Amino acid sequence: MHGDARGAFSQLFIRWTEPIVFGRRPRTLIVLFLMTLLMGWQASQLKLDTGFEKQLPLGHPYIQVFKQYQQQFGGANLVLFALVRKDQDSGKDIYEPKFMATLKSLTNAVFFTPGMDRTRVSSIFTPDVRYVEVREEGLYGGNVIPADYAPTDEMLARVRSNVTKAKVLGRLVANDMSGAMVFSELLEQNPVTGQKLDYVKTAALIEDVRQRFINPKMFQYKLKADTGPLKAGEVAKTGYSDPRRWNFRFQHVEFTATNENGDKEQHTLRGGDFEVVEVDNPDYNPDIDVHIVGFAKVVGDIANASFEVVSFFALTIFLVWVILWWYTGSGLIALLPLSCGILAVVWELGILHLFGYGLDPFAILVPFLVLAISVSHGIQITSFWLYEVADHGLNSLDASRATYRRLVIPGITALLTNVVGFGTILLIPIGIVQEMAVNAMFGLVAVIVCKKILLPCLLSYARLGNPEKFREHQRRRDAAFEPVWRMVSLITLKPVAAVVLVISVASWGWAEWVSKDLKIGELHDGVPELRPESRYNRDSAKIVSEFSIGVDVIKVIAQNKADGCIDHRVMETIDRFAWRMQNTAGVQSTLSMPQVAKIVYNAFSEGNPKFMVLPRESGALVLAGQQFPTSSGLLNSDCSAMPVFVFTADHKAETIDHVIAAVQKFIDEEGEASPVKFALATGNVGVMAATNDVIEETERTVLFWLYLCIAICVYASFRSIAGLVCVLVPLALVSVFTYAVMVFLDIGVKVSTLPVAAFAAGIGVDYGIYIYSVLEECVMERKMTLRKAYEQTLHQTGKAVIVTALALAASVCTWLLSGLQFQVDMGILLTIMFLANAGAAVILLPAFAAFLLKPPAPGSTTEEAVPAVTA
Amino acid sequence: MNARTMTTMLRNLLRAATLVVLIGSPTAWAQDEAGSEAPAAPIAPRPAEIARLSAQNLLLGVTCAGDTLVAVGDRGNILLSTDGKTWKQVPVPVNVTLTAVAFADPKNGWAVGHDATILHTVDGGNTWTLQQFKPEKGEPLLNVMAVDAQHAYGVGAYGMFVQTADGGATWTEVVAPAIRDDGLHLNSLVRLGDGSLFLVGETGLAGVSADNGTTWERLTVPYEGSLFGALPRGAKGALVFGLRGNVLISDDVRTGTWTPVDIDSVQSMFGGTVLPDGRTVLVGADGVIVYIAPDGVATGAPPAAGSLSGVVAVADQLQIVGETGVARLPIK
Repeated sequence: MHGDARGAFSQLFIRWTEPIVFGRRPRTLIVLFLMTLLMGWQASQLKLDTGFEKQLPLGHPYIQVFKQYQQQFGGANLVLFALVRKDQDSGKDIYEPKFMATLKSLTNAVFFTPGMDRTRVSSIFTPDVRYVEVREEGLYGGNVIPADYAPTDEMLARVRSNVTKAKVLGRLVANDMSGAMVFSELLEQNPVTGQKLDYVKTAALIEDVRQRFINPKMFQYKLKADTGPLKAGEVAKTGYSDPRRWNFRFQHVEFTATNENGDKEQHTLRGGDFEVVEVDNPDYNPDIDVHIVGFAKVVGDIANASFEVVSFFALTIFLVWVILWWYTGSGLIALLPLSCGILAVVWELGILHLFGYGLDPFAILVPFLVLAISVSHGIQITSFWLYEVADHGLNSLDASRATYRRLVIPGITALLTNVVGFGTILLIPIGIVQEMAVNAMFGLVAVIVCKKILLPCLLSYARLGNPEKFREHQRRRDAAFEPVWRMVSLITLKPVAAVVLVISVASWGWAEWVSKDLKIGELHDGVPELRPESRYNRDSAKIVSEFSIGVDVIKVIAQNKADGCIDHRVMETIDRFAWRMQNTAGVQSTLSMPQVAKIVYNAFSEGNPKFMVLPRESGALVLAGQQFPTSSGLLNSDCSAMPVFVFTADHKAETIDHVIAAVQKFIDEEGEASPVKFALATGNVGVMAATNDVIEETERTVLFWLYLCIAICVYASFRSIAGLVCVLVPLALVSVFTYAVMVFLDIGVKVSTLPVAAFAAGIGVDYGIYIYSVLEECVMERKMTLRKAYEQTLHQTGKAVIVTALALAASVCTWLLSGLQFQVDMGILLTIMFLANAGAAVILLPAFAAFLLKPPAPGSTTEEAVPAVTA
Repeated sequence: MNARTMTTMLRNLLRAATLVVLIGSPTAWAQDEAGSEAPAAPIAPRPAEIARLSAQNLLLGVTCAGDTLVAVGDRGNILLSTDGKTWKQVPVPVNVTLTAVAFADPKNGWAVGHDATILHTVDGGNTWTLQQFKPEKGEPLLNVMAVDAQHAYGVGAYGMFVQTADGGATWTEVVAPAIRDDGLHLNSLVRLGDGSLFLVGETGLAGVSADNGTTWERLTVPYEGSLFGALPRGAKGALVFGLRGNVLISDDVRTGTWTPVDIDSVQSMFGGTVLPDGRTVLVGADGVIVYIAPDGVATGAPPAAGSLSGVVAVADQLQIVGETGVARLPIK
């Protein structure tokens, strides 16, 4: 029965499309060629597009609070430069002429870095850092580094004592005095030109500041030709990072030169216009290292790592080509599916740009996936074509037509299943993930065109140099596989099948049990986007250990009436909240307006610790609070909102959950009458909390819809429960198995790994569909016994399945080399899932079929439902 | 904080803070509506929260109740310890900052603090009852002295000076115009060797009473800064300490003859105790610890963490409290 519907529809579809595709092959090729030109042109304009907003689950209440206060609290875009002695174990500290000289130069270098808010650059060398002493006649203050500083022992001793008095230990000076910090803040907008801050460029400038002190060499850009006021051979620019990489000659280099009128001229040349000379760096200090943290640096490092990934694409293509070569036995024929795959990627990127999207570092993996899917279909097609040519001795065109007729329907079915599978990712309400899903769906459209139309067309022109020899090669290799297929086909025997099923049920149970420990969210320290051992995360760990500075923070916004800062009830409530938070497990420290107001009030009370309190009198609170501008980030302009910074020990989901629960408990205890409303949450960990929430909520939903959609697609193509079970159950088993793997590898369910399930299942279902469709056909139409049928199925598709799995794995395993942690995680999981899905399909599918797939009753007719396969 | 603004302000500006509001403060939100608002409902005492970190948080006073150490401080925290190492926070009916604690005997004692809070215990510090709480004025008691189970004194900011003769059932004002009329902070009250009461306070204020506080005589100390504490010395003498490392000793406080002690530090001293061997130990800002021999020669000791506020000697150990909670150091 099922054959009729499928057959009828296939017949219709093929009858319509085949003449269009194969009728005038040159026309088809020219149309596709022109389309490709258009897409290539579009793709070439695609821009790398990073957006912070896209990573947020915008609908979540925390993020609404985040958005509400984003503009109100300045001072968020910090960049911290920690100058730390490398020989700190020897007990040396910063009070040494050479260190001080480097610190002074570093402060200046940061000060003059374009994009910095110069009024907010702060180190012990800047005049805003002062010490205060309580004297009988009042308060007395001075600069930590006196104006008449000279590197004498006496002066260094004075600086040391001033540092203690200025209470900057842990902030501007390392806790053990082995390092010092330069704080700086970036301007989001250039106050002169109004241009938005270019993060990637600024990150490079920041890195150059580091290199200036840790690189023994510096690099002079000498002009090859006269430019503006400068003559050839003059040094136009000095840099501290070696620019001489392979693409330097094409890169833009900006420099400023002073012309004869004394005006500054901005020039931009190509790297090739310079001769780069390496000279000794006078600022180099071998005893120190510079550690940098800050959002801009993270963005820069992520962007750099993303560019790196692009170079993996070449490696991926090479790997896939090698696999295809091995499979087809011809490097040339292997190029056909491969180049169609690359074309599909070009199309995908073109469509992406056509619809106004940019390529996000997060979605940079989609082209790899498209290549993988494209190649996997290409293998099926090429494999069938080879089978026709080798086993049936058809010529190229007839083989192509036969391939088209036989595979266009299951191919498109499989791809539509993929589309639906990827579509379920749209349910995750995070912009970046949805964009990735859309991107992937564009990719599938591209694959359908490139693989289902272009490839058969191209194959029809392919000529085997020596068909006999080629056939011989194919036969020999097939013969090698025969015993394997015969062995595997044993699974179709009921007793063996039973054993396989029992084992799989047992391993399912085991995987379920292990995956109970599966964690939501990020499990490692540092910035989750970057690898734990990346320079940035090592810098961040170093700064956290040497200074009293936290990098993981949940900000809870205390909302109250205007002027809450001078209302004791408000301040006291916030203070109590902060104290409760500080006593919560997982919290390292807290910072809030009342806490600093207490310190100021204490300073005004002669430093007597008995006055380390919040005064009840609002006048005294005015005095204590007026020291803090909005840019401190501790209050908004009318003091109706004061964030409580809750620094957490890490950003593991358990820690976050614990802290959030403690916040909620406090809110509940306070009740409605409280003068303060505590709103969750901003800060990097606050955003993670929201993301974790969203992921936890949507994970089940996504999986449910994913499997439901796949089930519908599978059922639609086979019209049988047997087919559904045979295809779907191995898939689900692999999903659960992957969860267990995630537990072992310490990978949490997060924005990057949640789509993996959908991608893997969406693609993994292909194996099942291909195997089952041939198997069913052999049993139902060709009336073979199950074992024989499965042997035949494997002969026909087994190699292809193995090669597909290898090609898919090859195209994602290169991500393991990525500098971006989420790509590494995705790479590991997808590699495992692609291979496991293939294994599960080959082994489990026949086991289920042994019990579920019933041969047709002897009376039924087969009609002509199998037009393609010539017996 | 902006030091330049601060240097321009006088030390006692806090008291004039209301005035600042009236003449217009530099910040916008100082134009508050607080004054125009209807008076809020009376402030009810809120019990202190038992917290994990209370022993590592600001503590201001420490004393011995028999064999038990009792420390008081921030947020109404009162902690007990029998070994100086493990501390247990006990329930307290109020969560305002407590500044001092004193015991008359191992059972009976008082703790005082901000909002003129007075707490009383009759079981060695395990349970506390609230005897006085005046949040409306917002003025703190800064020290307490227990004479016996019935009699005790409390001194505090702006000349606050109270006493009880009935175990704290009623607290009455001490009549001492010579001491109180200037409205200066009274920082510390001690009993001298001869049994006289001696107190010190702001701007070098000192006073003595030979009749258990009935009448008070104002004394002169050759120092104009704040004196944060005093310790008995000999029969009639005292050691006083205060702002910026100023320490003075006298063999008879009534003579007005004081000798400065050079402690080689400019940090303010906030607490001290007399050791069994006759030496005095002082603790203060930035963790400074100084030993002073009876002849007035000071020896420094390695500093502890944070500002220190109180100290008591137990056997060969100093039990110190301060900004970072409890600390225990061997006596040098």
